[in-house]
Amino acid sequence: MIRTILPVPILFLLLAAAPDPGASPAGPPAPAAPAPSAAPAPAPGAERAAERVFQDVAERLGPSVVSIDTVAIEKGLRPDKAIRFRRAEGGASTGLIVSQDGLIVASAFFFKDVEAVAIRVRLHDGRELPAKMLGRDVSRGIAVLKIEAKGLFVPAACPRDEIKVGRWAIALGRALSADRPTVHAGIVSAINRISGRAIQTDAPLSPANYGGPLADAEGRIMGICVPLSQHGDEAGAAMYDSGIGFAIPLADILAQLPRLSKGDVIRVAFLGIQFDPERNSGGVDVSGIFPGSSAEGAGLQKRDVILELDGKRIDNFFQFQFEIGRRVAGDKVDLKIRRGAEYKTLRGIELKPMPEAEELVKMVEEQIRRKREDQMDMLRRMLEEQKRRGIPDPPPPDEEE
Amino acid sequence: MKRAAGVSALALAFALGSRVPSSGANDFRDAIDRAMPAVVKLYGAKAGRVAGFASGFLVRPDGWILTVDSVMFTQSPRITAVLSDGREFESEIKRRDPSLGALLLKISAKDLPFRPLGNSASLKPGAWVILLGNPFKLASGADPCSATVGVFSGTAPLDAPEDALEKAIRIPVLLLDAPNNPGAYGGPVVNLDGEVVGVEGRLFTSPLTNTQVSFAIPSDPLKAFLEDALAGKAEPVAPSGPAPDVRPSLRVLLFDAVSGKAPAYVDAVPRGSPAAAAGLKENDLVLELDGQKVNDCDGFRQIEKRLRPGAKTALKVRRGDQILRIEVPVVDVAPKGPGPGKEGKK
Repeated sequence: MIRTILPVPILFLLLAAAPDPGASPAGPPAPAAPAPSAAPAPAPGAERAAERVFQDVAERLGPSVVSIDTVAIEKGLRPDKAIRFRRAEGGASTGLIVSQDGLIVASAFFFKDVEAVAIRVRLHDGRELPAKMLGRDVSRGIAVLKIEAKGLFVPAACPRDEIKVGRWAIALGRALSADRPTVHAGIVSAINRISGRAIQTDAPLSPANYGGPLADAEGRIMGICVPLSQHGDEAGAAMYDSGIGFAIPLADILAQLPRLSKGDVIRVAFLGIQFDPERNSGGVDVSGIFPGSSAEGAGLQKRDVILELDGKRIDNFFQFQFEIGRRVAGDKVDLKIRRGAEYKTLRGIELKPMPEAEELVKMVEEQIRRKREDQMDMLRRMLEEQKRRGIPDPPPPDEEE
Repeated sequence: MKRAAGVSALALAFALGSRVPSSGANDFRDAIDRAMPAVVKLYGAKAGRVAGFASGFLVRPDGWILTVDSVMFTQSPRITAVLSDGREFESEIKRRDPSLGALLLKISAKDLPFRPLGNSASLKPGAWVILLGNPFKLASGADPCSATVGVFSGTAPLDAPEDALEKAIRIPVLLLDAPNNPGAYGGPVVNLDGEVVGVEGRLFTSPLTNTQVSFAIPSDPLKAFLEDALAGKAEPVAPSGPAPDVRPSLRVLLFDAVSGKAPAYVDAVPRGSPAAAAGLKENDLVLELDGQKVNDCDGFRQIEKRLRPGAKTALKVRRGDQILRIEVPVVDVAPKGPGPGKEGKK
């Protein structure tokens, strides 16, 4: 249980003199923190200090946390005119204001497989405004909404390199009650999870706070809470209440915000190689190429060894997957490879989006067909060789499948 | 790590105020020490899938025990209370309040350690809460009960489905992020001062989030329940629904010809009806009725049938790019006197 290790993060808090989020240039100043003289707590324990941090962070960030109500309908086969015949799928969730003029970051979970007919955003001051859906980052489970407003409070983002394991993580939501944000507390459990796309926290996350911010003890936003799983999909719902929750670093979302606010849909990048986990020739041993993939287009071949990605040394497949996972469809990469004794650099390979499930099945089928052909070829060659020599030879050991 | 010149006022305050040795003050322990002696282990018969054990706590020195109602209390002929010193007592059920899900027991003893009900309204989201109780009946006899810590997340209605035992609890409850476990319900939820801010509720799965919600009945409404019981006032009568010959209606036709699960679009507002006079229009999409969210036509009807004829209620509708609040009088359309208003099919 995390609460038993309380003194450590608190100590961290005391030692880490962090910039005051109120002084950040990212938005209008936050409401002032309560004056230290106002509450002269006589020698409080670490627990009381932590409590004040949670309450203060919730109060200061409250104005940036919005409640989102969606009236949506199943994605239907019928044309749009038949909206009223389709089943309604409602839902309440949370969002975070990221620009003074009303850009809101939310969890895409609530907009998956449905068509929103009405999105209502409720601000901390009770104002209710209709919202429009702009872009989505499918690779991170993030949606961007827009309301027509001005002068909204924008909280500061925590720089990525200051998100550290063991620091307090405070999750705020407005799905359950629109009046005040709900508070769930825990610590940062790990960083760079899910191919480097997510922070892991043990603050209890659920639809009650998906889309809401995960803040640090200084009131800076570390990330946006979303359902995710190791496989990168939204099956993270299976991990409710388990002490394992994920948040997408806000810094990463802000980097994509220009695209997202234009309405772009950002997808998971897919190079399209298979690797051989048994072999390690100092990089990634390519054991197969998916037909029609970026890898095929770039001329990557079976038995190539990938040594570098964008100049960064790659020692194994996990490192490689991590680096690819941080990129999105449309990004370009350079690969340094070894082919036999030759070294090559393939430049400007544009990463295609992760294929849909059906496409992936087709790709795998095609892959299997090619493999069978290869094996038949090999067998034929072996037979011919044997015929030529006139003596039966054992098959070469490195070619058996 | 990057260090800024400006030190946050808050961090500074802590740095000055909390230089405590690691072996020193522990606010959790202080609160637990204060409240734990009043916690009581309760045992009854196992009733179906409901475990035959629960928790409670003494709210008066003369043997009044507050807990949360469950099937165990209605089905067990005898409820045994085991105090923190290990003494066992037969208890008597004195009073229940279905709208709070609360139950009051009495044992015959005096000068017992007790914990009065504190103030739940002053609780701020983010405050620590400590759950004291006997999950999985881990403690027996004079063993101390378990303490579990979490933070108070906020207040919200439970939104319990019609078939849940909690359906009657319509007051906003305290949401906690501390894990709740079987048998811990009925135990006190205390703040860092050891004050009782609520009573832990039963395990409950929220239909909204499909997660187990740890919640507590706030202490403020429980105070009145306790005082009425001590003053010997008559037990409150369970609130009954509207009379059977009343059919509250807004006289609004929804577009639910195919399915009640369709979004609640207004199909027509009868000319001259109060809803028309109030400005409700065809094609408005109803988002909220009487303060409750409307997902679909069925949801609208569910809320509509609980409205009070003669009163006004508020609708929130989406019309084009606007969200409008419209007040509409509730009318009674039960078939008596002049014919009922034209209504959507039931």
